[in-house]
Amino acid sequence: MAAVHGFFADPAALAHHRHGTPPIALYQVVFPYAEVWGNEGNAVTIAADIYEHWLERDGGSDGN
Amino acid sequence: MAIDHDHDHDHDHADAHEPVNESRHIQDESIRIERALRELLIAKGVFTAGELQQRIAATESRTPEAGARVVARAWVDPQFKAWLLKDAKPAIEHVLSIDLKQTPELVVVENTAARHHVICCTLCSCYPRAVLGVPPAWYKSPQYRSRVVIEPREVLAEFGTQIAEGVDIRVVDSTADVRYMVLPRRPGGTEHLGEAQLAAIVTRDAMIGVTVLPEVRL
Repeated sequence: MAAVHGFFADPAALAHHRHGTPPIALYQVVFPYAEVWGNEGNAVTIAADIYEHWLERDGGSDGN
Repeated sequence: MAIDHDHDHDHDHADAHEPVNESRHIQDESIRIERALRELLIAKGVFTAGELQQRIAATESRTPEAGARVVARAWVDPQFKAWLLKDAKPAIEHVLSIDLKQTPELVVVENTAARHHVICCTLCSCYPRAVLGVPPAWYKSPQYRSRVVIEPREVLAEFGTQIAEGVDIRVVDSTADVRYMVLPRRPGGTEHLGEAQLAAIVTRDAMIGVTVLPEVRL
């Protein structure tokens, strides 16, 4: 987790003419290339902005 | 994954890197859907034709010159740069008087000797229009959006951009709510340039992160 951008209306709800409330936290999550694509990516990281309800809690004690 | 490049199209194709990916059929359909949706929204009173025209004019009045001014100021003013990287919108609005009230959040990411950022929107075409204007066609293409997250070094190479081994490439994937702009590295040979001259060498593609700015030679 690299950054918390703030709270925004749920974009999936907005797409269906709903209000998207309560607002949902939007995080920037940085993934090493291998974690996304399964092979080494030659020093590449992917920083994706992901809303909280699109994330699942890691099974381990300390999530990413 | 080669870029499909058929020439059965009539739009402007000045940029050699611009991938052409939509068949004529899909484009025609998009135009019909856009017209139907627009007429319906106006008929339902969601907005007026005049409001739509105003919004289009406002959007089209934005150009990458705004972003270039931001970059040039950041290069010459370390205090502004620190503020910009921490909280871009108020920094830009206060220092450069660029109006960002109608625009989504903006985050500026700094390219360094150790890390090169490149911006994309894998979901659609989210782009920092307020500071870069209308996005180039290739930015919205499925090829760019899917390939840049899978093989960024190869995609950058197609833009003529070689990123040294050992430099971390960070692909930044946007959403509608937060837009990104790259603060490129200040190229060599620009020590003598003033802020306005610096702004003139900053390109749109460098602020997306698909190119780096070349050394300036007199």
